[in-house]
Amino acid sequence: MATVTVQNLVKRFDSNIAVNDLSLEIADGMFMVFLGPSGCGKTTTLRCIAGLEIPDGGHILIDGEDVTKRPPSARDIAMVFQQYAIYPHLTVAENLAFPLRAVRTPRQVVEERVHAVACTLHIERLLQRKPGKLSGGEMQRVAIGRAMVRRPKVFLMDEPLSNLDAKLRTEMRAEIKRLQTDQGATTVYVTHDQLEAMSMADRIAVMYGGILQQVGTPADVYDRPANLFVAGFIGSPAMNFLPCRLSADRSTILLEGEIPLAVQPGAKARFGDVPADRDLILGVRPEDITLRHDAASEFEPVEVYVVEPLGAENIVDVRLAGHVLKARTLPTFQAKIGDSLFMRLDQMRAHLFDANTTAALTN
Amino acid sequence: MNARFPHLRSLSDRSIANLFLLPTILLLVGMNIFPLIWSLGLSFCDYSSIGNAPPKWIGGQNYTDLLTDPAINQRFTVTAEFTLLAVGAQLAIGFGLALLLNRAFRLKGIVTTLLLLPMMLSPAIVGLFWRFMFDASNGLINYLLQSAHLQDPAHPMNWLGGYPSALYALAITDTWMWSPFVMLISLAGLSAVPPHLYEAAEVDRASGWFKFRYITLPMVAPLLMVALLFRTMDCFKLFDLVFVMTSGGPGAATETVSYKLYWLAFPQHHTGLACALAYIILLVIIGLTNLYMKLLARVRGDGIPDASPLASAIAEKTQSLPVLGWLLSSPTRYLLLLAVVAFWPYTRLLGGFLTAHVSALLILALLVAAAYAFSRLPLPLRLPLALACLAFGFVGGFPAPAGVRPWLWLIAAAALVWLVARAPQIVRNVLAYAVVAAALAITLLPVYWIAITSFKTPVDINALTPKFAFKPTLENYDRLFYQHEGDQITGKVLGLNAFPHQLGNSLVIGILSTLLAVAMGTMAAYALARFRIKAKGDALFFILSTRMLPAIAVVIPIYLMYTRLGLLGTHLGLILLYTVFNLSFSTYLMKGFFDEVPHEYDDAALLDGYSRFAAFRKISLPLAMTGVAATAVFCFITAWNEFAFAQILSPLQPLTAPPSINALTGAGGMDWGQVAAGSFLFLLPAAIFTFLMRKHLLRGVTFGAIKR
Repeated sequence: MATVTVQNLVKRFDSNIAVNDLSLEIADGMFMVFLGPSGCGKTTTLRCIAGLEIPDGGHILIDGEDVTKRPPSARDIAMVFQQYAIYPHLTVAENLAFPLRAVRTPRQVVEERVHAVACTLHIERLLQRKPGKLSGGEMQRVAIGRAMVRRPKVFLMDEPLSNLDAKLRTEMRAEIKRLQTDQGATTVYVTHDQLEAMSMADRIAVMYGGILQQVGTPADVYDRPANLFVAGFIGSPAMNFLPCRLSADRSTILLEGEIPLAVQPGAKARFGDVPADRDLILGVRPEDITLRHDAASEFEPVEVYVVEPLGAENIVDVRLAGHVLKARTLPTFQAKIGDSLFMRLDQMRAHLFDANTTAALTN
Repeated sequence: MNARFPHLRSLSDRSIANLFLLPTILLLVGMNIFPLIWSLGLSFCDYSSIGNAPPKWIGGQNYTDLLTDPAINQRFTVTAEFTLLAVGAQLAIGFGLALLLNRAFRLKGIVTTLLLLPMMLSPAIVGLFWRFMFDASNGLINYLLQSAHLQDPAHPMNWLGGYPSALYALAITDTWMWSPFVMLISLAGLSAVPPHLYEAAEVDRASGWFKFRYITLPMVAPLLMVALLFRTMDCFKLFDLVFVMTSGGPGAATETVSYKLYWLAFPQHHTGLACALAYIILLVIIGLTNLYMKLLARVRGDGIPDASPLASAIAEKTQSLPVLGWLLSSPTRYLLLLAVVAFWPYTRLLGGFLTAHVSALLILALLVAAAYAFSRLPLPLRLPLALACLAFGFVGGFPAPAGVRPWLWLIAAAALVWLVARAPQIVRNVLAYAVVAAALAITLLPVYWIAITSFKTPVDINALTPKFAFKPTLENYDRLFYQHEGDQITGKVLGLNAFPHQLGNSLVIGILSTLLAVAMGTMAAYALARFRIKAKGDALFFILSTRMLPAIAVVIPIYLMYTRLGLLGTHLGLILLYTVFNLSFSTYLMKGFFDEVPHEYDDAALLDGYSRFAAFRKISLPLAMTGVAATAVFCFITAWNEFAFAQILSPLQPLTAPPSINALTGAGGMDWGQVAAGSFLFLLPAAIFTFLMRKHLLRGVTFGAIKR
């Protein structure tokens, strides 16, 4: 296995900049997930690592060796494609053997390895079938198998689960994670699904507009988002954003519409360094909002706007003056549209962002 | 509109379906099935269409006579030889060009369209012109060969007067015309291979050859089989080129079965015998189609294995022959084998006859051994050796015996291929563009030659060295259109010649038959696309099968029918015939277009209170209008280009342009100036339509089998 280093990667398509000055370290055996909306440059970055795209600037290093100019075949990598790229006219066994036969591996070795991989992925009984007769999940296994059979330095996976249905995706997610841990394989995984990223990654690299927004563990990007984009992209329902200012003595948060929220005693220090003289955004996750039916200190009166019962939890949308906030409650919490409730924001877990630069000001 | 067609409002779907389908079915039965049954009857009779004797039943005598006649056997051999040569060359050249064109470059669209031009032209006119270019003494081809020092000026090749050169001339002409067809289909196949398969293979460290052998070739194979099927059937039916280029000569050396059939039926009037031969040809074609279909199902991998006993038998045989297995197991050997097989027939042309098959087999064995040894050599040795072979093969006058020289050429070519495969990408790109440019030049040269010949004076045309620079004149057009006093260009104009009338006839017959065929085809297609019809598959197969019939087999009973109805040599006769000829084509093509219009549109119109007929007229038809236009153009070009029927069914004087151009004669045989002028005028519409229709060409030429 190997390390991968991306240095100042730039890739343009005509006049569009797909990837802009991206630098990244991927340690040996790490499961790195590139996360971002479509068009953010995550797939382009992956294809540059694979050698399928030639970068316009910067370097790609595998195990410290500069491979920027090398063709994919000289990088010792394996890739699982979004469309699987299983050769439709070859049987499963022939598909699995393809990467080995391409470099003229002795027949016996090919057979052994194909068999071993098929066992690992539980697809022995499919070996003689053509891809046309496989289900989506089976195709997925074959595609992963074809990458594994190589024993490459790095695995690259380009949205491998996006063509599967929801139930299968959850299953395969766990399975890929398990395989990766067992094999200790350095893996780069591209997805736009934050659940996949959170559940599988050792490190998540959040990308947007060709720019790397934040790299960190799943807990890092969830609890300490670097900017508004990361904060809003990760988490479902998304973080609530409230435009606000901070009073000069930092004792009150003034929400837009001049609604004052007293800064809670515990959060004084947290907001201590935040400049008071500019437009801010207050970010609160739905689970950091507490609702109750009767008044209490630090609780603000609100009105119920919508209730969405989801079974395991209820999402209650409440109105505070002109703002609508989503709160996550227990499924037993009773509320009807139009009810008057009381709400508390957990300021210890809330974030303040600069409205102009979008950067996080608290951490 | 319901006010204008009140009676249509109340029609049920079922009546509409019948109303739409019936004309097509009736016409096809009347003009195809009935004649076929009639000729089946005649094939068991002693009958001559010019004699007064009624048909006399003689049982299977005609068939026995034909099948035991060595001359007929010889015609089949010639046809098979031609088919192998032409189809082999077309597949190799067409697929090769497609591989070269399957990349992004500037002007790709226009280059591709220009390369496709030949297949849209009339075979009869093309053949006529190639005959001019193949002329032994002042033809363009010998001139070019001599300029390139590939031919001794003292011994010019008498292309059409010798055997096997006449056969090669036919094959070359057919290849020029139809390689674009294979190219078009191959391009469709190549561009349909998902790019991520190549990317995956690239990541999997597959070499260029490996990718070609295990991804490109298998993925394109089904489409190549379609091309192979279409081309084989067409080549087997070859008639026009033989008629205008060699008339079956020298002797009977290039008489194909179709030409023999024509000869039996018309100049000789052995009608009963000809009908029997037509049925034999029909059976062979059905057999061929069947074989290909099974192979096709096999290639696709979705066929039931035991549905193709022949194919699996071949596969079994192949496995039991270890030599063949060995030959096929390595890329180098495989390529070499392919090259040997592909070039085998050409060796006769290049180096005269190999005296005995034994010596040929010996050389083949040596070659295989050499290739094996070559592939075992260390890499540093292989390069100089390949270079040496190359130099050796291309050195002009080295003293090798004539029988061996072609093989050296072959080795040289193989070495060249090997070298090119290892050249850097940029060299290969330049080479690819060079080959495409050469192909473009070869494609356009004959058309260009027609154009400039039409502006030359007879003296310039008959000059011993073909002239590229000359003083242009409109004399040929003048003589083509106007009758001059004393047949002199300087003479007073007496009036119009027959040619302008015939050109007008071509136009009228083309347009009217197109209108009929498209109208009926569109209605039938709508019925087939929208309604659940009992035995729909059978109906479709029936409609398609009428098009697969060789024209020459149907023409005998049609001729007899027309004689009795007084339709011979009339506009109505040809219009009716071309309508029928195009009907199955337009039905098939239009069904494809209607299938693409979601039936929900019609359903919505029906729910909105429209009648079924109104839904057809207001919704489906306008949405399929591009399809109607494309179909019409294809029908028109087919009718416009048609030669055999026009030639045979207007026996006294040509009714349309193609046979009339063929019949243009001057003082010393063919008046090539007038032929060029007529051909140029005649080819223009087809050329223009090629450009207009370039997006629909693929669909049109494959009968709607391949859409994109």
